[in-house]
Amino acid sequence: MKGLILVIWGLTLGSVYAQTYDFGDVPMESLEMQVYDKDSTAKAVVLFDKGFTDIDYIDYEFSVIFKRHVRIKILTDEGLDLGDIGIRYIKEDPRQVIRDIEAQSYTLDENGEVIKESVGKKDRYEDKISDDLYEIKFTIPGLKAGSVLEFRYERFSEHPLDFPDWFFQREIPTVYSEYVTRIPSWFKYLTVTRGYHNYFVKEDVQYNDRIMFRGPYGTSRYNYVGYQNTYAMKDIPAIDNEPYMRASVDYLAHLRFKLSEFRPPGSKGTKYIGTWNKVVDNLLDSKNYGKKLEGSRTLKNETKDVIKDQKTDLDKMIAVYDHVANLMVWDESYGLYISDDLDDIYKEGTGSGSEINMILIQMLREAGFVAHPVTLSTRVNGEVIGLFPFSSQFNHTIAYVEVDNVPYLLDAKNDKRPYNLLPTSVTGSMGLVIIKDRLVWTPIQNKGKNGVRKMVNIQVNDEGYTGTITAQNQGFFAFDKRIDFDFDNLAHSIEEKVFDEVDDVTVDTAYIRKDVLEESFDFTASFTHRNNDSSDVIYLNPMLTEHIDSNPFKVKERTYPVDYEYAFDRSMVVNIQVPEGWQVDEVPQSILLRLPDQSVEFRRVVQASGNMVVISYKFAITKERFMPEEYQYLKQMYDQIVNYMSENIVLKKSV
Amino acid sequence: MKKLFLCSLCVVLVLGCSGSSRVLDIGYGDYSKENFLLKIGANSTVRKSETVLEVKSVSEATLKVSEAVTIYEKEDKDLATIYLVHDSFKSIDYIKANIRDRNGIVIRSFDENDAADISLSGGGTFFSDSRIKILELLYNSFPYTIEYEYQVQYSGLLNFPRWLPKKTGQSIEHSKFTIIDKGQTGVRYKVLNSEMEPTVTDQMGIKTVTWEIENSFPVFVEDHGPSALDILPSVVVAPGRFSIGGSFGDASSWNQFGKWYYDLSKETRELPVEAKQEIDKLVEGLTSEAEKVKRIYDFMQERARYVSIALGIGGWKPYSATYVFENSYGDCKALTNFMQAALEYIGIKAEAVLIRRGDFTPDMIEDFPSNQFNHVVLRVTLEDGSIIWLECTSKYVPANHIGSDNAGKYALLITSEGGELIQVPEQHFTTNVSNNFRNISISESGDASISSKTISKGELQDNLLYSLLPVSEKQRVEWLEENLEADNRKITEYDLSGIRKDASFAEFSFMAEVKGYGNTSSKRLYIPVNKVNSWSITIQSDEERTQPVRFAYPFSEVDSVVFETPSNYTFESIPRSVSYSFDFGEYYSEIEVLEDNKVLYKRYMAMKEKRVEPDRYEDLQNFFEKVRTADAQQIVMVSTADQ
Repeated sequence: MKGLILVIWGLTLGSVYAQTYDFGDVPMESLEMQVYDKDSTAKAVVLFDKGFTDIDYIDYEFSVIFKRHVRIKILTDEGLDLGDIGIRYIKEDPRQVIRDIEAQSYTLDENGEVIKESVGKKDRYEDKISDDLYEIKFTIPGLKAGSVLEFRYERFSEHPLDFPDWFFQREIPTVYSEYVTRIPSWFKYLTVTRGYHNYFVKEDVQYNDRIMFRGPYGTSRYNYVGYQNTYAMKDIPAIDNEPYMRASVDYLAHLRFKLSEFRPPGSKGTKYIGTWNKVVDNLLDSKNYGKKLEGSRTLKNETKDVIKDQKTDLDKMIAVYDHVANLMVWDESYGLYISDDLDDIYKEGTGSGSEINMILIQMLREAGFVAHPVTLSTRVNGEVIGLFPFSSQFNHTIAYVEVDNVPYLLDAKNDKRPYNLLPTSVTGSMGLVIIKDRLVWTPIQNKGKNGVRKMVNIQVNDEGYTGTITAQNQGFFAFDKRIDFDFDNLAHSIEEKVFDEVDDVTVDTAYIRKDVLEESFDFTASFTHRNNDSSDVIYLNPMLTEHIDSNPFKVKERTYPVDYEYAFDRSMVVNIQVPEGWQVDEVPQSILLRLPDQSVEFRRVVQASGNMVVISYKFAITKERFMPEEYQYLKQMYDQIVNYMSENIVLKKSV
Repeated sequence: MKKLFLCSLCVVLVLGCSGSSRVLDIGYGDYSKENFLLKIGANSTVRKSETVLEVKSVSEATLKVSEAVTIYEKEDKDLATIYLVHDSFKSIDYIKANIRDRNGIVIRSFDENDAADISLSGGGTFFSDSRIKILELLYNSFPYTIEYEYQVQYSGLLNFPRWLPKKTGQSIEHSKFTIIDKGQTGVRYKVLNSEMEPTVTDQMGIKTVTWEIENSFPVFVEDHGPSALDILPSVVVAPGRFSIGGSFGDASSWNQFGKWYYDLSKETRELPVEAKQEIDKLVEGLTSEAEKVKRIYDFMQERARYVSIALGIGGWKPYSATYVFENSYGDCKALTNFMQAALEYIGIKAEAVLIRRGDFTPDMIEDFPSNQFNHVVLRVTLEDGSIIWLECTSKYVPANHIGSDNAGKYALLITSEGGELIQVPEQHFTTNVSNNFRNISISESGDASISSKTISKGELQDNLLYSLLPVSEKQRVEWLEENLEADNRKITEYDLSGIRKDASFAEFSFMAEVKGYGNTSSKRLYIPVNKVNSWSITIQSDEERTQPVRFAYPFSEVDSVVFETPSNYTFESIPRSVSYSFDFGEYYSEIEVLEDNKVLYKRYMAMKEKRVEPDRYEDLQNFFEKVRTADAQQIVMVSTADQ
C-alpha cells in the first residue's frame, strides 16, 4: 500500500492520555477485589480498555498511530489464560509495526505488599501466522487468581485506510472501555456502531492545530481544524455462547471505521468510499473474481456432456448443479476471491465455497442460462453493513440463475443438499447480485418448507408394545437425516436418532420409502418394546419420538435476539391400540400453547375412545428471529412443553 | 446419493506442469492394473512404497520416502494430503509429487514450492518452533494415484520416525523399509503388531536391515477400541549413540538414555537466593519430610502455572528452575525441574520420571529404550522409603494424585546413576469412589426438596477439584445446579469447603428446590429413582468384536437415597430390585418401602477394569443396557382421592 504524500513537517500532536489511567498505577481496590459484583460468575474482568488513534505525519506521509492500554483483573484460575497475550500485525501490506510493548502483573502477597512482575524482551516470541500476518506472543509472569495484569503497546500503520476498529464488548465483562480518535478534518471517516449496549460518553470536540507545509511556492504555516471523538461505554456485560446465536460480531458492541475521503487543503481530494455500484464494477473487473468467468475450455466441454440428455431447462439446471455438487469437494473454507483458473480448480475437484459456486455459474452460462454471482457474508461472518460499500465484507459467493424466467439461488458445496435447499450458513443474509450496471440486493432465503410429518401406530400387548413409524422429512429435516443416518445400519440409526429420548425401543426392520434430494426423505420402520416386569398397570409415554426433554433457554435474561436457523413445522399422529382385557385409566391432557403473535404454536390433542387412543401433535415456528423482549415467552413455553412431554398413558388390567 | 459423473474428456487434459525439470517416476509400472482383493473395504491402497533411513553419524541421518497411493473415493480425498513436520534439527531437502489418473497418466507434478508451511503453535501449545509443510495433491476423478518422494535431513538425532506401512483402512501391494547404519551408531529397531522378519546384511561395517510387506489387507479401529498404533504393523527405530544440539547421549539402554536426560537438566536446577530463602521460610518448623514435600508442592501449585512452550532440542531442553521461580510459569519439564530443585535443596530425594501420558495413548514399549515420552512427573522418596508422586503441571490435585492418564504406566525414572524402568501405581475401582447420600422430599405437584451429600476419592475427587477450584463461587453454584439435570432448580444452601486439595477426599453438600422433579398427571405422580447420575453410555452390538474396549479409569459409585412422598398418595408401582455382576463390572439397585410413605433406594455401580477384552464384549453391551434400564425406572403413585 502506498502512503499518502503531502508536504508537511514538524508536527507532533500532544498526548491526550488521561492521567487517571497511568501505567503501573494500580489502585489498591482493584487488587483487593475478590468478585466482580455485576457478574459474579466472571473468571476475569476488564477494568479498562483504552484505545487512542491519531493520524500522524511522518516522513512526508500520513500514518496511523494506535495506542492501546488494557488492564484486566483475574478473578479465578480459569482467568489465568488471559495472561497469554497475542498481538497480531501485518508486515507488508499495509505495513504495520508494533512497538513499545509493556506488560506487567500486580499481585498482593500475604503481607499485603504488591508484587510486580514484568515481561522481558527475551520472553516474547514471534509467530508467523500466514504469509503477511505475524503475531507477537508473550505470557505475563507472576499471575495468580486475584492478580491484576496490564499491557500497552503502540501500533503504527502506514496508511490512513488502515484505521483500527474498536470492540467494547467481549467474552468477559468490561467495566470501562474508551476509544478516542483524533482526526484532522481533511480526513472523513464513516463510522458505524453495532451491538445492544449504549454509550456512556459520546462526544466530539473541535480542536485547532497548525502544521508547516512546504509547497511549490515555499513554506507556509497552515492552521487546521480537527475533531477529537470520544466513545465510551461502561459496565458492559460479557457475551457468552448461547443457543440460537448468529455470528458474535452481530451482537458485540463495537465501532467500525472506513476512510471515505481525503481532501488536503488546495486539492480536490480523493474519495475512498465508493458506492455499491462501484463494488459491483470492481468485482466484475477483478482478475481474481469476475474475470475468472471468462473462457473456460474444460468447463465448456464438460457442460455439453452434462446436459446432453436433459430435456427441459429446469432439468439442465439441476443436472449442472448435481454435477458440480457431486464432483467438487468443499475444503471447508470461505473467502470471496478465486485462487486459480476455474478449469484448474475444477480438475483438482476441491475448492472454497466461492470457487465451487463460480464453477457452477460458469457451467450454467455454458449451458445457456443467465447466471450471475451473488456475494454475501455467511452467518458466522456477520451481517453486511450497508453503509460500508466494500467487497471485504463478503466472504462467499452463491449462484443466481434464471430458468424459464424464474430466479433460483444455488449453493453447490454439499452433495447431500438439493438445489432447492440453501444452507443455513447463507440463509437470513442479504446477497449482492454481481451484474453489470445494476444494483440488486436479494434476500437469501429458502422457499421450501422444513418439516417432518410422522405417523406412529402402537399396539400394546402384555409384554410391552410393537409398532410402526412412517416419517416424511422435508427441507433441513431431510438433509439432516441424510447426513446423520448410517445407511448400512438404518435400523440402528433410527433407534439412535429418531427414538433418541426413549430407552429400550428396538427397531426391527426399516426401509427408505423415498429419497429424492429435491423433495423428501421418507422412511418406515417397525419397532418393539419389552416391559421388564409384568404387572397390572402399563405406563406408556406416547412421545416416543419428537420428545423434548430439556429447555434450551437456560439463562434468565437475554440482551440480544434469539436467531433460529430456520422456521419449521413438525407434526405427528400417534394411534395407540389397547389390547383386550385392558382399559384406559388415564391419558395426557390436550393443550394449546401460542406466542402472542402466533409465531410459535405447540398443540397436542388427545382423544380416547374404546380401545383406541389418538394423539395429534404439532410444534411449529414461523419466524426465525425473536427479539430480547420475546425471550421470556420462549423460555416459559419450553418449560411447559418439557412438562407436557412427560405425561403418560396409563392402562389397567380390566377387573 | 447420486452416482459420480465421470467424463472421458477430463482424463486426457493435462494441467500445466509446473515446469519442473524432472518429473518424478517411482517406477511402479502400470497403475491401471489393480488387485481387486486389495480394494475390498479399503479407502486406499499403497501401491508401492520404499523408505530408506540412512544413519551417517551420531547426529546425522537422511530419510528418503517414495510412495504411490491410490485413493478410491471422493470421501477419502483427505488422504491425498502430505504433512511433513520440520524444525531446527530436521529439514526437508525436497518434495516431489505427481497426480496420476486411473490409467497412470501424469496429470500434474508438484514440488516443495507448492506446499504450504504453517507454524505448529496453537491448540494446546502456546509457542513452538516446529513448523509443518502441507502439500495437497488434488484431483476430481476417482480412483487416482498420488506419487510422492521426499527427503528429510536430520542434523541432530533423538527420535527416528516410526515406519508405519499403512494407515487404518489402507491396504498394501508392496512396501519396503531399509535402515542403513553407516556410522556404526548402533541403530536399533523393533517390529510391532506383525510377524515380519527382516533381512540383515553387514558389509564392511555398514549394516543394512530390510523389511518388506506384500498384499496386506486393511484394518480398522473398532468403537471405543485401542489407538491405531496398537493395531497397525510398524517398525520402531531408535538411535544408539546420538547427538542433538551439542548434547551427546546413548539410547541403547534405559540406563544410558536416562543419564542423558539427567545431564541435560542437571545444570538447570540452580535456585536463586530469594527462592532458597522462600523455601527455608516455608519449611521452617516442619519436622516431617512428608509435610515439607506437601508444603513446597502447595507453594509451587499456588505460584506457577502450566504454559506449553516447546523449544530447543526438539522441545526437550527444560527451562531452568530459576526461570520458573521468576516468571511463575513453565511447561512440564520446567515445573518438575523447579519442584525437584526445591526438594533437593532441603535434602529430600526427588527424581524426574519420563512418561507417555494419556488415557488412551499406546503403552510404552518396555524393552525398547528410546525417547517414547511426552511428559514428565516427579517421584519423591522419603527417608523411610515411602514414595510420593507429584504431577507438577496441575494446580489442583493433592500430592500423590498422579491422574488416570499417568496411572499404571511404565515410565523411566531419571537418577544420577541413569535411567531405570519403573511402573507408576495403578488406580483401582475401590479407590476411585463416589458416595452419595440424599434425601428427596416430593410434593404433590412433583416438586422436590433435596438435601445431598457427596464424598469422592481418587480420580473422582480430582475431577471435582479440576471442575470447581478454577472457577468463581457463582459458577460453583451453577455447577451444582447443572448436575441436578432439571430446568428449574435452585440451590438454597451449600457447603463446598470440603473441596480442597489438602484433603484425602472431597466432600460437599447442598440443599436444592427442584420444580418438576417428578411428573404429575391428574391423579398420578411419577418419581424417577435416579435422575442425577443415571447411566447413559451404551455400545452398539457387534458380533465380530476383535479389539478390547478401553475406559479412562475404573470407578465405583454408591448411592443411598430416601424419598419422602406425599401422604395422600399410595404406591401403584415400585421398581424391582436388580443385581448384575460381571468380572468387569457390577451393579445393583434395591428399593424398599419404609413407614410414612418413605422409600429407600440403594444403588451400586462399579466399572472394575480399564480394559475389557473382545470376548467379553457382548456381556459388556448387555451390562450397559441393563444398567441404563434400571436407572431409568420410576416409582408410580396414585392419589388416594382418585381410588
